[in-house]
Amino acid sequence: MPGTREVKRRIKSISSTKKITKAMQMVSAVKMRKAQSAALASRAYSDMAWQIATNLSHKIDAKHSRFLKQNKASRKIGIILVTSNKGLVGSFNSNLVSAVHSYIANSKAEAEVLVEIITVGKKGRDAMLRVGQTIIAEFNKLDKLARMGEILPISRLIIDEFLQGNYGKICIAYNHFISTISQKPVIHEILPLGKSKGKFLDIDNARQEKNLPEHYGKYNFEYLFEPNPNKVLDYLLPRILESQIYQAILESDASENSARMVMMKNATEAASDLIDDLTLAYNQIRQANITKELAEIVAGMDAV
Amino acid sequence: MPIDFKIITPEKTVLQKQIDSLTCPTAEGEITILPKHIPLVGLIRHGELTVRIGQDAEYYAVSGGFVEVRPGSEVVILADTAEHAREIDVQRAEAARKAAEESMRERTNKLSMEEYVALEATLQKNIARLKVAQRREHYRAKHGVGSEGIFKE
Repeated sequence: MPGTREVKRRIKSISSTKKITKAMQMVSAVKMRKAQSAALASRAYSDMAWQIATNLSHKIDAKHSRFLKQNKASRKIGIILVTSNKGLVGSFNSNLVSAVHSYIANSKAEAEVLVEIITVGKKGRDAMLRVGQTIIAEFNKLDKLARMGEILPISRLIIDEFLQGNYGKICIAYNHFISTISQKPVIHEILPLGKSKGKFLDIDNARQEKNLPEHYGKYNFEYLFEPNPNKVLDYLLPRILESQIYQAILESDASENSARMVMMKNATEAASDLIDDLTLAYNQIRQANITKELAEIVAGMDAV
Repeated sequence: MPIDFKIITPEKTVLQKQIDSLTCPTAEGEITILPKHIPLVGLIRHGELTVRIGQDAEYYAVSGGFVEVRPGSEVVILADTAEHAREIDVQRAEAARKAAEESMRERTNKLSMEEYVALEATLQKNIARLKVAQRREHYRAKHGVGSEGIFKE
């Protein structure tokens, strides 16, 4: 039938696209559930760890641990950028990248600083290369759930660099998982430890002030260390740092899969709408053709 | 004044309760924490953690981590793993202990320092788990199965 072929072809191609987006939606829905429960389950741990870091950083003389000391001499900022490997996640990566750009711009406005990037995930690396940022290391991000062991190289690198005094500040930038439909780009300063507020549960440290005797005040107490401060801090602080990096990666994973699920759901719905419209158009053309043919036949009979 | 107590692992919050005292294995030996303990930060090694509420005691196998005592009788334990005595799979713990022991014995010379440390940790962890699991057996003999038997007779 003339005119209908074009429409039919489009319907066919859109339905196959729809099948693909539907399949991707299912896959990311499964991954999303896993990633979300992992991120939520370990939030309590990393947040508690960060609270300990904050408490300690207020109590301990920075001379006891190099993790707490600010390298005033260094004007370099290190940013660990956690993004996804693949696209089709809506504004997941671009939001984070622009947040990082504005963070860099703000830091540069305040003082003269150099920024160096450590990337986890391909998209962030590509975006940073495009604008010509210095990337000192890139880590592969696996597409399955991260395990604690996998982040050890990252934490070892930043700990070494920080302890050598190469960086004044190290932050981790990632998408914080709020809910399936909402994720927020976050830049969390992890070194020197305990300077910024915990990001995962937003527990305010003021909460601890409750049921304390008056004279305690917020940080007006001394810690006892078992066995001794140096040993405890040398063990404790790297672990706290690892828990922060690990949690950031889990959050990013949960956000990525949620974002992808939502994007694919939208795409599937859009495809359905399009197919409906096209089918209507197809039927109209078909009906018009039939009417036309009928009219021709009737006209032909009249002529005979 | 009870202690506000939490055990948290990377997987989940294992316990969040008001308790009367706890005993935990630290790097320098066991310590017992009572209400109004002075603020403390300590390292925890593999072992048995005892939590007491009134007359009852609960036992947990913990492996590695740290304890923070905060002012105002608040105690937080961040452990790598923590299991309640009744959650421990004795057979698996025993098997894991044996496997670790054997590979330590057989491959003594071939192991790198890191592997050796990892094996040692596995061994210690499972010894602790078995020890805690035994607590459960004792408990059962005293309160559970034993009294049931008498009841039936």
